[in-house]
Amino acid sequence: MQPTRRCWAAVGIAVFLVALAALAARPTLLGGAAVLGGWIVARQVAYYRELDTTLSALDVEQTPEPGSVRSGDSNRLRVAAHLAHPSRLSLTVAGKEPTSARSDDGQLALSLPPGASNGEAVARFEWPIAGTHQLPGPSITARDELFTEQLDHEGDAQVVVDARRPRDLHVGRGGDRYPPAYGAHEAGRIGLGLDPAELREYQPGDTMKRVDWKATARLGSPHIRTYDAKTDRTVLFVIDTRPSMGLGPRGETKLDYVREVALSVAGTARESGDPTGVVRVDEAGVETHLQTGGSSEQQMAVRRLLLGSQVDAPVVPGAGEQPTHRPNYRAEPLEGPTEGDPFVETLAPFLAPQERVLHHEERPLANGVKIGIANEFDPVWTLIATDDSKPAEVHEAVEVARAKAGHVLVLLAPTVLFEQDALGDLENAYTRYAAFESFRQDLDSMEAVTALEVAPGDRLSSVLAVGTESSGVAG
Amino acid sequence: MSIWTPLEWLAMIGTVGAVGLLAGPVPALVVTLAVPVWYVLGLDYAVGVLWIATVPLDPWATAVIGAGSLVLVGAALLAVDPPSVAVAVAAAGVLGGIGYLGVTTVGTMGAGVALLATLAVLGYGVHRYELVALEVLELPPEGSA
Repeated sequence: MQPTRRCWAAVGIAVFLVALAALAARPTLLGGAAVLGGWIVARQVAYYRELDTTLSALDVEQTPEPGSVRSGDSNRLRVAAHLAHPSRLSLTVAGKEPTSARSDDGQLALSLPPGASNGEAVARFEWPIAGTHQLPGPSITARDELFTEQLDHEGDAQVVVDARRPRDLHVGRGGDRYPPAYGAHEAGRIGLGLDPAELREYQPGDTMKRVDWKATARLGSPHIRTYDAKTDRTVLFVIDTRPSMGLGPRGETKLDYVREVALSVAGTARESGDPTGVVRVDEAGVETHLQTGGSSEQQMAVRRLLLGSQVDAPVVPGAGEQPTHRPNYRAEPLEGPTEGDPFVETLAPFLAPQERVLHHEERPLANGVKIGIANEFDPVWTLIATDDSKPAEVHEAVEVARAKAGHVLVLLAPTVLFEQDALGDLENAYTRYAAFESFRQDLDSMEAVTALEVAPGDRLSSVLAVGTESSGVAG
Repeated sequence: MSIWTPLEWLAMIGTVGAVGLLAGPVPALVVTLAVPVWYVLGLDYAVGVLWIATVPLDPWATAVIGAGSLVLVGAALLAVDPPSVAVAVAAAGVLGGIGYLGVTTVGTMGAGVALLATLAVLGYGVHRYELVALEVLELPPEGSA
């Protein structure tokens, strides 16, 4: 307990009486100091007894409302105190501001003057950092005339801040969910791998070293054990990062949704040891191209590129200049005087294809696929993550990918399910979704093409419910 | 400004009357003058004024006024926490005894210093007890240095 100024004043009076006793040679004044000292000590004991009683009668609650938010959102923290019986102490219960939160509401504190039984204080906090945040317990300050004490109350409340990311991810066809192991595949043929596949009778042409002698002894005739072959499937991720992919709330854009699926496929590819590569496409063309490869570093690089994919800023017509941070994979035009420069003359033929690249920028998705598979000799399993805003271009990109004799997985984000106000008119939304579904089915019906919708499941259900009702009414 | 309880009113009136009866009108006037000091500034100031006012008075009047101040302290404590009255009486007794012993052995100045030191020790002791009792501080485990 800490003495207040009033307490120090009482001590000062006692000291004054002692000094006066010594100076005036009146020892009886020491009696006054003794009485005052007795009073101070008694008040100290009385304060402790009252504080002890008060704390046992005090119930403090610190409640976040709600206890779970998404990063960047805010919630209310409520501190409430209840005394089972009134105290003669003046209480202040102050919530401590969590380190990871911000508040403009000032201090979260309530006061219980002597005799009061209930108090409540509320402040709004913003939570920019994802994670589970333990709230520090509030501090309780109890004060009377002569003494004050500050105690920390144990805090058990916590706020769970979820990172902004797609929720209720739906991947499927026409509202039906697709099996979750996107990209899982079998070797498809028997070979000389490590995992046993089957036991069969010896046939002419089989080498002696492939004979399973134990099985032969057990079965009475020569038998061969076969093993699953290990095969590699080259996977190319073509990610559309053009502005239309940025539609949706923060952390729940079209790109965020298709990226989740692409990451899942990348994980499966990593487990299978498949070579993977990435092409990121923006408004100006191919923004990033990572050649396919099967090393673990490559797999991590692919994952990083997928995670780091950001929607390209809208291109302002006539702005001309490209952002300086973009990878300089395309030859930049040489500036300044060039005539007679041997360096320029040497490079000029190599710069000529620049015109072709610029031509391709009019259809960057197809161009991205083309660039991605250009150096591949084996069939490529191509994943195209895009939306339905440019159907003809998607169609073209799929055709380019199919030309490589591989399989194409198209992840399509339906625009109607990402527009915030689209569900205000459900009939119209259903009509637009039906058009999307027609486009998706068109792609899906192509040979070696799987076209899936990627969208928030709850929004899709809302739209499909309208279709079901319409069918019911019609029926 | 103090808000007096009926008990404090009664103690004050009784003290003024008792001092008047036992020590005469002048000491009674001294106690009466202490009343507004208590009301405006508080009991500790009133006790200080009472004792300073005993300087020109005879020992009997001083003793009576001193006893009256203890009564006022007791009445004030009764209003706050009755059991602490005994603490006040005991602590005042201990401090007074140390003062008396000091005066008879080392003089008034030494007695005063000893009294204040004892007051500091008593206050700090209660403070430490409070910290341990409220589990703000934990006692070291037995056997540790």
